[in-house]
Amino acid sequence: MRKDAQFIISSVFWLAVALFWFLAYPQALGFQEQNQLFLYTWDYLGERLSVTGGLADWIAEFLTQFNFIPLLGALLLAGLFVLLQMLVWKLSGSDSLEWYPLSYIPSLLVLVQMGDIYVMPSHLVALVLAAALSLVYIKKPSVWLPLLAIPLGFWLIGPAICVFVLFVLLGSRKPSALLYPVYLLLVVFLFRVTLMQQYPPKSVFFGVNYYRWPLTVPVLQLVAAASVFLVPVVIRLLPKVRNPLMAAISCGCVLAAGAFLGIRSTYDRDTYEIIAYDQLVRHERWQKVVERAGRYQPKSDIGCVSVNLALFMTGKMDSMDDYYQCGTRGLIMPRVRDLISNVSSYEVFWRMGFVNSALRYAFDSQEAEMNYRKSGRFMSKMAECQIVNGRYEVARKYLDILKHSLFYSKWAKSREVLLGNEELISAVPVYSYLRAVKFSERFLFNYGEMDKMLYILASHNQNNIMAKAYFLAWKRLQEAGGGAQ
Amino acid sequence: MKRFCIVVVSVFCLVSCGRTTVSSNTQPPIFPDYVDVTIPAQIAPMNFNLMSGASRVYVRVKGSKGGEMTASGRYARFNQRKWHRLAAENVGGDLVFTVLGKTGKVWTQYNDFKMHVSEYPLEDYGVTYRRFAPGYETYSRIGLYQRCLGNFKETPMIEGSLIPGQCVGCHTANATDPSQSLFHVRGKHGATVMTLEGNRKWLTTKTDSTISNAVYSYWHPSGDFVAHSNNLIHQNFWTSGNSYVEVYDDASDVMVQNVRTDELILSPLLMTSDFETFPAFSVDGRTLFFCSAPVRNVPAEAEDVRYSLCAIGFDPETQTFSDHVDTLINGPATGKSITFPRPSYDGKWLMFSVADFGCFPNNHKESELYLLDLSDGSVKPMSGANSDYSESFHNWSSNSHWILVTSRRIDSLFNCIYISSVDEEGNTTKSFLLPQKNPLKYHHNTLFSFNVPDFTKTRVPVKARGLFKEAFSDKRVQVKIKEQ
Repeated sequence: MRKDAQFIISSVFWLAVALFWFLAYPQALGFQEQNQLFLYTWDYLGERLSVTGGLADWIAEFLTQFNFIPLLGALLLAGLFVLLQMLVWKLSGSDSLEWYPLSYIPSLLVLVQMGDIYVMPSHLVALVLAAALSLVYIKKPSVWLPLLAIPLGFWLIGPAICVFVLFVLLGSRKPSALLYPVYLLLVVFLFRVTLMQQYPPKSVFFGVNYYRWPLTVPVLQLVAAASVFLVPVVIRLLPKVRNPLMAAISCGCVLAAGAFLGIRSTYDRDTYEIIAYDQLVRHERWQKVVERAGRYQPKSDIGCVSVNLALFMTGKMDSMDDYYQCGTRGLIMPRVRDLISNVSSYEVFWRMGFVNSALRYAFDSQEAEMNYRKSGRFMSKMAECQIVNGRYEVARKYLDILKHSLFYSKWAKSREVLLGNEELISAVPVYSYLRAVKFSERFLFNYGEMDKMLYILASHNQNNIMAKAYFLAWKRLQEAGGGAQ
Repeated sequence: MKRFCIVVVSVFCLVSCGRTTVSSNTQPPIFPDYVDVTIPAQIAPMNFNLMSGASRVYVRVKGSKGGEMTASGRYARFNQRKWHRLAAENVGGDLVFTVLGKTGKVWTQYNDFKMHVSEYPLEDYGVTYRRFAPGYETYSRIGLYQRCLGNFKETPMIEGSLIPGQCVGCHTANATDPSQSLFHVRGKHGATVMTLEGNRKWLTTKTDSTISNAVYSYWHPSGDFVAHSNNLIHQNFWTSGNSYVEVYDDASDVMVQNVRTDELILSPLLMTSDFETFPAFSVDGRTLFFCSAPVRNVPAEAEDVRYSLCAIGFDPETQTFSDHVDTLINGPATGKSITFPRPSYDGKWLMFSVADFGCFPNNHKESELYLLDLSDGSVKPMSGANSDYSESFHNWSSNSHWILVTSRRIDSLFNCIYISSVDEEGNTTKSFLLPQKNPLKYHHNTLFSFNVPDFTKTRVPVKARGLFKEAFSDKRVQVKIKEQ
């Protein structure tokens, strides 16, 4: 009965987390997916395994690729949360019901932590692997396991291996066990001065791939890791209570309230709204963008670019003033070095005929990844730009890489047959249209003179109604005092 | 006996694996194009891929002066030890390659092709270069690497991962000697990092009297000075056409740094309102070559900026410049832009880039290499090293008989390193792509471009330890202006 209850609660938790991602924050799934490109090659695996935490990272990327289908991605990601909870519960060694909800604390902490869009799923995977390894040790303690698992574990899952070392300390209960943390420190030091020379000490000690920005270690990352050890220990120490059901329900309610408040504080509404627009733009769901902006629109340049693009695509550019505007930057943004600022603008450039500029923004978006990931979305766009420009060998290079992925492979193959075949390319409406409307004059891009560039583009081809509409909008916003900054 | 066994095994393979062998009266479609190239005996195995769609390849290499070896597999991968032995045995001779490719059950035999093994040795340990994804303003994975020429071993000297957010580039050694070298770090924690006899110092080269930090650098043969250019560099982007990026200077000057006192030696002749850049010392250290272009309103007139090749005298004893500048080749008069002068270390030649305009030939498809004979002033194109795509970032080997150059000839975007031989008369042989273990995989499946390559006489000692701390501490030696 108790096992059944636990199974039901875990299942409900799994579904709840999956629905949380799928219904409330599907854009987060898309964001994670578009900032990586998982390849089914040995070289890719080798590249991941060449730095500490590589296996956790590789598994996380493998799972994240399924975010391409948001429901599938949500179910898999939620599965990791449940796995972590189950492992924490097993580690506690408890069989009573009353403190069972406490085993959800690490998972909920990671869920709260993942409100920060730069947290990588590899941290969650690393915690799961560390907890699993700890369970192996708890079930069958041995001297050899830590000796082997500490260096290997540190290399494969990163500093989350500390969780395992703490459980070894706890399980061993001998003074000599104090040597294990020393052993870990020695291992970390040796890796740092040999194989990880090209990484700062802080990255090696706190994880190379747990967070997208190097040298940044969020406090919640440390708290979540610590909780994987502390929660089972606390559960072991807590006494039995007279009314276990009431205790469990009380615990559950407190945790649910805490998680709610945590999520409210870390899931920044404006950031997620901007990413949501972008994901809708990516899938050309223009009406959805407009509807969403009608309900709530953050005061942001990036979001504004997406909304204005959607307004044009739905033929509602005349009603621009009904939505938040931030001057001309809300039509097309100047280049910014980050993961999200350029993306909406390259979608505008691409559709309007600024093919080289779309290529530039897409390239810079991909290269803005500080952890060297590539992007299926951006690389596809770069390949398309090269096809339109007739640089087929460069396009082939991108397509050949995409062919090693799961979700971009079919598309890449469909583009590959076009290379060098002008007839087939002309038969693709987008490409033939862009070839007709793109700049024929050669001059240097100047964001400060965007109005002139739009005018040239619009006058070059009368069918380019988008360039014309953007030119008029640009002039109007410029005159209204929101010129390019 | 060993040779007999190889022949027997090879024949057995051919007979058992394929039922038919047909002849194709064509050159084998190989990547990289190694047909009729001239190689140094010390070079790593010249592995290649057969691009005919063949599932297997069989290659027999026979030396004109003796020896032979075979390779078979998905691509032609030669045993390193045997390769070096065969190449050494055939210095001054040819290696004749017989190539067969298996498609289905049919083996196709192509026409034999040759590689000539040069009499000029390539004694340098390897090459250094910067590697990153080519494109626009943003870079993620960037680093300075060294690669052994005799094998395929590549090791990082410094990678961007060690100093996140900073750009590293322009590793410059003194005539291929890494004991005196420098590289630049750009970004919030920027500096010029100079290594002198094993000691590293971090310099701020911008002063109140100069317009920027050091950009393009070149060592004085004595090792006591480094010539730098100061450039206010900008990048801009073409809205159409197939050249995407244009690099130009808003202003630029040339100066010389005394590396012992960290003082800058300035001359008004090198700091005019014109654009002066790309300094390079002659082998005797008494002439400083540089490029100069009349000032233009950039970017509007970027296509009118054309550099001339100039020279000014330099006296290392008194640390002074001569009172006049000689124009060796007038760029505007020829309608071309002359950049990146690189004198050979034997004092005979000066190699440079020629493009239609601008200061960054790397982005110019038409850019080609030329050679100036310093004894008589004659100029000729380095036809063997040039292609229909951009050639730039060239340098000499320590014995001045080999050059390396980056070229975009594979796919028009990704720069790769090519090597050519230069003989006593200045004739250049057909350049060959720096060999890789599996060339197609290396060049096609990665998104890296190579720039600022140079030969390195010995292995560059890598001292990554302490680099992060030094970079982020922002402790810098401020260079000063030398009082006249």
